[in-house]
Amino acid sequence: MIAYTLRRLFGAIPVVFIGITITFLIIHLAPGDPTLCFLTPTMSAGSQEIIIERFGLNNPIYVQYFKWLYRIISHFDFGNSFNSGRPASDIIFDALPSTLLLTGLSLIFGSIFGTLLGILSAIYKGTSIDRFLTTIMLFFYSMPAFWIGLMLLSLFAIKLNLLPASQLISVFHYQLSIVARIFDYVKHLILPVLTLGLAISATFYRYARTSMIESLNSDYITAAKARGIKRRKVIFTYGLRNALIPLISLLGLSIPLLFSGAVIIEVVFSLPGMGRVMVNAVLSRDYPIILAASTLAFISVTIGNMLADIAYAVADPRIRFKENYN
Amino acid sequence: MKRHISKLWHDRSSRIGLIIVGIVCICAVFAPILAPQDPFAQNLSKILKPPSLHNLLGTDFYGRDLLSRLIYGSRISLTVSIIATSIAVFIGIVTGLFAGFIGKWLDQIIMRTVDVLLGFPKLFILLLAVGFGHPSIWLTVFVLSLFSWMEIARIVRGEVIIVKEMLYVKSAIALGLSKKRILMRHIFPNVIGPIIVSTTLLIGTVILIETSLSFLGLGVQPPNASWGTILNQGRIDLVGGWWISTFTGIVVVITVVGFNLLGDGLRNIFDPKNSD
Amino acid sequence: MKKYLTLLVILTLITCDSNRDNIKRVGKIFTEKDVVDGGTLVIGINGEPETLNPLTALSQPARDVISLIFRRLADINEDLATFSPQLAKNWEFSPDSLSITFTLRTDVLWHDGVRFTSKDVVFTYNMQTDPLLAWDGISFKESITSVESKDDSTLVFHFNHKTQTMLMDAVEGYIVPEHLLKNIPANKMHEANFNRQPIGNGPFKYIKWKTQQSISLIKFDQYYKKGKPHLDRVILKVIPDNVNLFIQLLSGEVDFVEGILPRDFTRLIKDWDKGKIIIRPVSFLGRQYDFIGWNLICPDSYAEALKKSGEGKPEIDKLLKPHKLFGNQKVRAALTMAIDRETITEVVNHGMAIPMNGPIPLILWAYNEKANTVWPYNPELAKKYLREEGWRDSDGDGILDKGNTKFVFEMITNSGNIRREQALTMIQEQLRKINVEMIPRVVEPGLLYGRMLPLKNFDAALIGWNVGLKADFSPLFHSSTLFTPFHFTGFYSKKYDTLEEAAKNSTNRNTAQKYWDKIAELLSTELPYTWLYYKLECIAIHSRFKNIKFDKRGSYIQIEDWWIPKEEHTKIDKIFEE
Repeated sequence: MIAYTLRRLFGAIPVVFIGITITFLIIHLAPGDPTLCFLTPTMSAGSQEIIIERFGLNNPIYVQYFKWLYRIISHFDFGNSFNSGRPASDIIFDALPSTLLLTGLSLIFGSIFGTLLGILSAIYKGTSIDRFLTTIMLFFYSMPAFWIGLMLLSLFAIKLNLLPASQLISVFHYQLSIVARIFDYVKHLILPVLTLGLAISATFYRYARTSMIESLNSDYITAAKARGIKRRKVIFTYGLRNALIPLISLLGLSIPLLFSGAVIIEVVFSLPGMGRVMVNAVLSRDYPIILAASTLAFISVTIGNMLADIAYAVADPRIRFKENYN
Repeated sequence: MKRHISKLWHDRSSRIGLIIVGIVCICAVFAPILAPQDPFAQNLSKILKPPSLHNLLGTDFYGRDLLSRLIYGSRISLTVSIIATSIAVFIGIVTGLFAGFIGKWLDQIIMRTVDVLLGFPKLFILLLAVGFGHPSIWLTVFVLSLFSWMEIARIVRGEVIIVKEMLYVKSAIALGLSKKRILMRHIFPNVIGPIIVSTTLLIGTVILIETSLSFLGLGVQPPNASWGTILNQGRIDLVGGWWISTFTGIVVVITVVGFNLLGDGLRNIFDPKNSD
Repeated sequence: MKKYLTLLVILTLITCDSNRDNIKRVGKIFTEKDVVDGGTLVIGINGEPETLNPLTALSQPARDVISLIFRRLADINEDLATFSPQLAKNWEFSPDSLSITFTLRTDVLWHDGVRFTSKDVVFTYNMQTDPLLAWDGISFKESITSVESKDDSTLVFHFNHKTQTMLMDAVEGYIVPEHLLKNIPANKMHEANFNRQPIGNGPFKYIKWKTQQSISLIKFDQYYKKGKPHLDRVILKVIPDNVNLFIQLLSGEVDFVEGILPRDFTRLIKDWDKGKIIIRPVSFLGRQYDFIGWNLICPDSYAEALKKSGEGKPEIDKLLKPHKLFGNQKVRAALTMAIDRETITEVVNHGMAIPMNGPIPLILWAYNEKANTVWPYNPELAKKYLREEGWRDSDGDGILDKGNTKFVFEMITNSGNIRREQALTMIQEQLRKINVEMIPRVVEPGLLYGRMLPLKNFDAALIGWNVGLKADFSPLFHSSTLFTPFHFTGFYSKKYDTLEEAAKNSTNRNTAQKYWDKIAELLSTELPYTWLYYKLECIAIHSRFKNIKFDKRGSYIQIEDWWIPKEEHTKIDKIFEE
């Protein structure tokens, strides 16, 4: 098992490496000049050359690439933002906590809520409970997440004026007592977490229901039933275990969301976070930020995939065997 | 075939799905006949009028009829998502089958590629791709399809590996049946169900992603209006013209629901485990 | 029926006006004696400042925040001609009019307690003019040869020739503290820690910056204007989205918002007049206008000329070929007449803008509407002009053609600007009436400003400029800037060059006015741009703030004078007092 994990870990390094290299090439070769965003008509004529040099864009692309790589490896330095001059890593670390708060809560809420309902639906397949849940979740699954957000926003923030429309905390947050601060967070986060969580739960519901039904219909469950093992035991030991495998993989695939943020939810609710950092960076051609955020995304996805595969292997020995004699 | 369709029709939810998808397709094909008004004709005396008998769903900021715009919008939204999905599904099936069936180094390469492409959550990578190109319908299609096939490939590969491990397939291999035969006889019937399921999910997802992209202003550009573009414009008028975002959202939801219902119905028919 | 009712209820909930309860609007008239200190102002800003260092700031939010923390030597008055003392007590021109001597205040402290002296001003000037810094306002300093510190409170600016804007040029730019920045080389200035922990000498002192969330400033107790500011605290809340900004304004979470969309603004006015809200809408002539820039030059020939741009002008004149559609003045005039600018102004701005006919912004003293050649809306005359230039619909497809060329072109605008996208849609419709097909295209700003415009790789562009307080069009139209990014129309003429140089060099305002009038006439006849509208700035402010004044110089300039009566304090004012 440890050998398998180590092998996957080493296998992940080239993936991250190739990924960021391709990203580097794409953004440097794409049309559009980042320096133009930093010029104004009132600047002097030579300013463009000075800014090009400041950003290091005067070098040939391979020199830029190796310099960039060298600084990351030797100093963990991702360069400074073109826009604000701050180290890219500072900007990312500033944005991460807010993002983790939103996406983490939403993922926890969404995955648990969705999976539970999915299993419930599968066990009572064909009954009115199943039909009701399926219909509701189908609607959540089919909604653009931001549209739920917009509707919630216009109801609770515009019309009823019960909840704030944007940001993570009130401006007077630090003047409040601890309890009031938590309440302040809850007030600000409830709509975005509900919006994102419902969207996530709909996906988990679908997967959980499908996979539980398949698992309950599979040959060995039928065999177990035929051997006279109790229904409850069949469902919870054999059925559930197999049904959860695809969900573990789904959870693994959701890990990057934690680190990259939910762009649209952040836009709709004007929340701070990685999504907004990325949108701004793309729009202003802020190469160091784009690259730093992409690197984080690549690392998080390979780790997510790895965790999913390892969990998969633990849960389903067939896969481990296969990997072992390959 | 006829049997399948009648089966589909007899299941209540897939019938609803079929009807919805049918209506949307008819709207898209016969938009010029069905639309009560010219969706591009501006009428400055009717700016942001709420729903009335003359404009069933109200008008937008230029006094254009929302119903007509939604009918025309179905053309763009459907075309974009169906083309993008077909390309994605094709790539996904081919790569997934190869990865799962042949395995070894090919599997490694394909699945690492999938990992790399999955490196970002979809919207993240779409943002990058669209942000650095000229936003247009075809770029949207291209980007959507190029970054949507991975999940299908994963699912197909996963199914192939599971099926390969199953006793009857193993015995078929042991019996020395040709790979093609094993593929057609044993693997294909087993993966077709999941493929259809994920394809329907994908059409819905692609419509939703296209909506999101256009909502961020990076998808289909005005005056071409997909539903996402209309939603984006409607958001600006959320306070003064609630009907735009509300009705457009409802149309998107119903359409996606339709595709999902239809897909589920299809699965019930094609999935050998359920068709007895 | 029941289902139907529920739907109806939900819809009504969404549609109802955001009518708040507890509206308390005090109509009392206050006098000087009533003024009290205290209270908090929450400003909603729609973008995060990239820096708070006056030397490196470019964006509007950054400039706004900086204007609360830093001070200039003198501030321009509302007439945009005279100046009021700030860090400088007074100033005097030398007899030959080639230098200005400033006497500085001696009671000014930086926020860290260090005394402000003339050395700070000299340091600031040296930084501003260091080419490695690429300071945004460098064009103001072009005619200054040196700045000399006589003693701690006396300072002389030397100029190489007399201009009309000498005083403006000297005082432009906020002064930064030498003692904190002297060890930072100019090319590292944009990375300095100071940029996020600025120390200024203005009315408000920086205390905290939560990235992407808010910036907090508090009153500087030792501010050199005694008794000011009245407010204890200013918080700038970052809400990068106009819709949410407006919602926050309505719900009372922010007190003050600039750049409100006209459609929302007109709604505010209605509600204010009915007494339904406590947020007061205010509008005044702003600093922005939108226009269509035509590409006068064939993109391929420009690319060719760009390669050879080092080889001198006469050569280039031969290389540059006119654009197939817009190289012709009559065609530009025809399109200008085919566009109903009055209606566009009215519709996309809900009346919160003024149609514009010539190059000179409405707020500048050089503006003179009579000097502009006006092209009123007249599609028939437009058709006639195009016919005279040989454009006919010979194949009957509803689109004009001439030889093998069809009158089809793209008009681009940047994404993210609703008004421009709306204007584009309307112009398309209007041009269709004279059988010209315009394909609107919305392009991401990085691509538009970063590639298409500088390479003249476009047909027409609908964009806008921010107006500086000094009239200077040389980056846009002077032939010397033909190969720089902002001169994207490719318009150049000897006549223009002469006029502009004459206008800039005249020391007498009346003489200058004559040249500016001629420039306005020339450009509004030649039409490298078709000017569309000049925007009114639309802002809204909570009515508990008193003594608020806004004008074209901006809405942040007099925040130090604002105050709140004790009885009108709200939750936010009280919570910070504890």
